[in-house]
Amino acid sequence: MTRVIGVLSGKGGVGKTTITANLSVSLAWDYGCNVIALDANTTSSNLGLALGSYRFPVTLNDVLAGKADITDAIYAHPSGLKLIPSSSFNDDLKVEPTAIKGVIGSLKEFVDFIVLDCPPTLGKETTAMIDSIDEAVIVTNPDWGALLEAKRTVDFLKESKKKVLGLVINKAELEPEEISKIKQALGVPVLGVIPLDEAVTKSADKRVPFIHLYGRTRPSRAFKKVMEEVTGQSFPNRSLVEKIVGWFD
Amino acid sequence: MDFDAFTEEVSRKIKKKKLKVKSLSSKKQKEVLENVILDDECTSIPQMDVSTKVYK
Repeated sequence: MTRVIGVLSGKGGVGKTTITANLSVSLAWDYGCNVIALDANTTSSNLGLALGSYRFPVTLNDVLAGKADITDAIYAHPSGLKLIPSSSFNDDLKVEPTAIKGVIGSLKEFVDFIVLDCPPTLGKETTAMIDSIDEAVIVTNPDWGALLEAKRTVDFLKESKKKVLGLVINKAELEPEEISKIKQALGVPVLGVIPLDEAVTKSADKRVPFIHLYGRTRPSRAFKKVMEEVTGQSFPNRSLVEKIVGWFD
Repeated sequence: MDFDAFTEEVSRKIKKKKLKVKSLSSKKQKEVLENVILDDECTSIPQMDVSTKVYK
């Protein structure tokens, strides 16, 4: 059965696109799943950039505007992932976000996962995306603004009867009791805490997800645990050294 | 950050494809999608221009 996972945050700039890129390529490359990553942020798209390319001749914006067929807006990433990017052109801003549901419906039967990089806020575009997902991963940072917006998003998802897989607390160094307090306050599990590390910024600059470019660093080890939570399966091909180091993280 | 690469990226011209809605029947669209998505070699869709050798 296909899983449609939305990556949301409420607040912008918390690392949602970075998490979507890493989650999608890892499902495709490490777990060997058939995956489509969809840049659902049609007004401020970045997922293509996080995966290596910035501008595309046909995008989701064209599809949602009724100007192109979805079959023309799919691109192959070398990890095996398929990407449906959004546009980086201001000419393409007029789209009908509610059409996303039909797009996802047409893709569903061919893949194991569809991962949506959703827009921030709970505006019309985001709520249309939420309507088309089954499950959500919430990305947040350990600050008041990000946590309050994450809480608001969690509440909205629960009211919309969507399954919240849990939180990824990004750019964070937290003690176990702090993690526990966040978990309690937001009422959802914590899937992982990704430390702020040079490996993340360097990989963003090189446009390659950190889990593959710097696979043995702390952020990657933390993210592998997130992958295990999301898939319910052990991360494939971890070396013994990595497993031992992971116990002490 | 490599600001030279950034400057080059934002000034790069991309030729937008001349769009034409195919108005495929749902059966035909399903067939095309199946070919596109399940093609392991990814020969039937455009490849992303990614310079990394991580996935070789």
